[in-house]
Amino acid sequence: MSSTLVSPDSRPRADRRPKGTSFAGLVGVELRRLWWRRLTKVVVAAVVVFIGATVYNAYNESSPERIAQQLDSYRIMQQEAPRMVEECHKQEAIERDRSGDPTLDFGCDQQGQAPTLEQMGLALPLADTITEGIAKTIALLLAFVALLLGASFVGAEFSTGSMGLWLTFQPRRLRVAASKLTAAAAGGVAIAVLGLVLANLGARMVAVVNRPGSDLKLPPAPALEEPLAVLGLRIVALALGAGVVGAALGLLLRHTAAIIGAVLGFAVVVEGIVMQAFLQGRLQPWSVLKNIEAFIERGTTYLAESCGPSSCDYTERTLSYTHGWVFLLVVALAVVLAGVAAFRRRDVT
Amino acid sequence: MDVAVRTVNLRKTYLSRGSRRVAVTGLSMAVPLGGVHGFLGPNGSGKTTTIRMLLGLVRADSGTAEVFGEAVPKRLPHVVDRVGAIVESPKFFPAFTARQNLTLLASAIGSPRHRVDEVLEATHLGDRGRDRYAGFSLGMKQRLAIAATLLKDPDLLIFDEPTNGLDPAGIREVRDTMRTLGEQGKTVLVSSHILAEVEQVADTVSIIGHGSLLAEGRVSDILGGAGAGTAQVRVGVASPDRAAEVLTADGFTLTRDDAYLVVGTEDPSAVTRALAGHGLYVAELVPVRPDLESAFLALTADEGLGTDADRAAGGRRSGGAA
Repeated sequence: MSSTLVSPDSRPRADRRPKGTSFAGLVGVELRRLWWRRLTKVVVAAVVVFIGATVYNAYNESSPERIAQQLDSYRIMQQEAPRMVEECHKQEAIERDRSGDPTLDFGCDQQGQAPTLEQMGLALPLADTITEGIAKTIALLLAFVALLLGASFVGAEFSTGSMGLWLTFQPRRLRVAASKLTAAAAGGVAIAVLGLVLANLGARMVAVVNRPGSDLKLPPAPALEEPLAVLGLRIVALALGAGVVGAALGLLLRHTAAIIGAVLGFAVVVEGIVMQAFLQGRLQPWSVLKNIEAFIERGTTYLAESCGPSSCDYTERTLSYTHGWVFLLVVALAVVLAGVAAFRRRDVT
Repeated sequence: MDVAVRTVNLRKTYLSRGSRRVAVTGLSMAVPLGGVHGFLGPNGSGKTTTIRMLLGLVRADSGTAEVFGEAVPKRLPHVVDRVGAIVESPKFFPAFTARQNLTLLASAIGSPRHRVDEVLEATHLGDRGRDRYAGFSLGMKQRLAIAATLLKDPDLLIFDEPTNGLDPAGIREVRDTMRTLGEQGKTVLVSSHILAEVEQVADTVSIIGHGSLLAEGRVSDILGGAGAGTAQVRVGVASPDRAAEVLTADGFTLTRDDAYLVVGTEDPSAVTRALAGHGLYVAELVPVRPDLESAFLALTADEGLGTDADRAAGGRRSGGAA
């Protein structure tokens, strides 16, 4: 081995000199690093497993045997209805005699009306309906893994010390920050799209496998309130935002463990305790989780205390879809601005 | 003089848990273009902080810094392709292979893909490219860091304590690499607290203590100044006490070094003549070459600074930060 680490290079210098790279190129480099990371593979595997479990649950819930059992229960209820009405009228008569109040009404006629199949949630298992159910179930999980992925993606650079080396190659900090945030956003989108595609494929398989025979007379599932693609876009947008917020938290806190600790601490203390226990539930419009629910479900409700002149009662209040997305956008922008500002100003040691 | 790096009144104070720690205080220095420039100072004297400020990693409180005539950090992007740096220990992604780490860096600056193979070969890591960085020895990590700096084919290379933790073969390899780069016309700025190491490769040096410049110039000039330039010989003789009396009586200045005498003289033969005249015969006579450590100790004597060995013996005296 020679005693020097530098071999002579006789080529023209222009052939050796770097040519520089565009912002898109820089994002491409970040995406390549994101894909090479072990955590990315773990997250992808976790998403596949979780969606597999959710699809399996949907398969069990919509199996012909289970529907047949529910139909049997429904028929028994129908058969039992006249007897229950008769029994109700007997009890009503006894009570009228006992109390001497001939107007006493047990509402027996209403009890005699057996619920419809739709009211019991019995309907043909359609792929779109199953997909919608799975998508709403996994939305929060996809957002969390996107946040984790973004946070770890940037946090690891600080904890390994490689951010310093990176900045000696790319000293424009705003450009560097923007490329990392963009890559984290793309990672969040990829995870969400993967999850939704798997959910859709799984739901279609369930709908085919569990298609009931002609002997089971079921009404069609109620029409979806909105196209499935619109719900999918909202879930993708949520994961995108979570990825960006995760990366911004990485710029701010500089360590994956610190970010996870902060996020879990916020979820337990602020979302779990403060939002519920203080001001009789009136803080809930400022809860991140509640606003995510409002965003995904196109509006939601919460219980908060309202006081009249003489008493206070818990009443159901509405949190609108608009409130949801505006609130989430403002929070995401605030975190991103704080993260980028900190990264721009702070020393990297 | 053409300079590769210049700082003027550079100052940096760290604020940590309510306390202020001055790391660099009014540092003005110039690194000439081409050759190896040693950046010397004890641990905690502000060398690494200065390098970080040159690379835009740490923001200076005041003062200015220039690299190839461009003010940094403001215009660092205009010259960053000409600067390769290893700050403290090499830091790559441990779970990635050497090739993956270099590929990311090469792509970030638009360096052609084949440069990764070339620099891996040049640093004798060609057959270890598929190994994870986490499994590398310290020497291999250092080589990979040098490979990363070579991706740019830089004109200025900054090595911060490059031989820390290396075995003798690794130290020699890095030293020869710096020498070769200097001879190729590149500017190599090497910071170290191991003075003998820098003395072997450096053409010029800057010596700092407590975050400010103590001396700067060619190594020969530094050795010639600060009281280190007087010619000396080390004399081995059977009766050192008697010999000391004789030489002192003849007007020589001397000090004891165990069983030897270190005598200041421009003419070694005068020493042998004086001793022989009193029946004392010289068994050993070795010229004592002034070294950078002596010069450094002389320069820092008033500053309460010293080498690591001095600090280990005398406790921590320097208050700066690296």
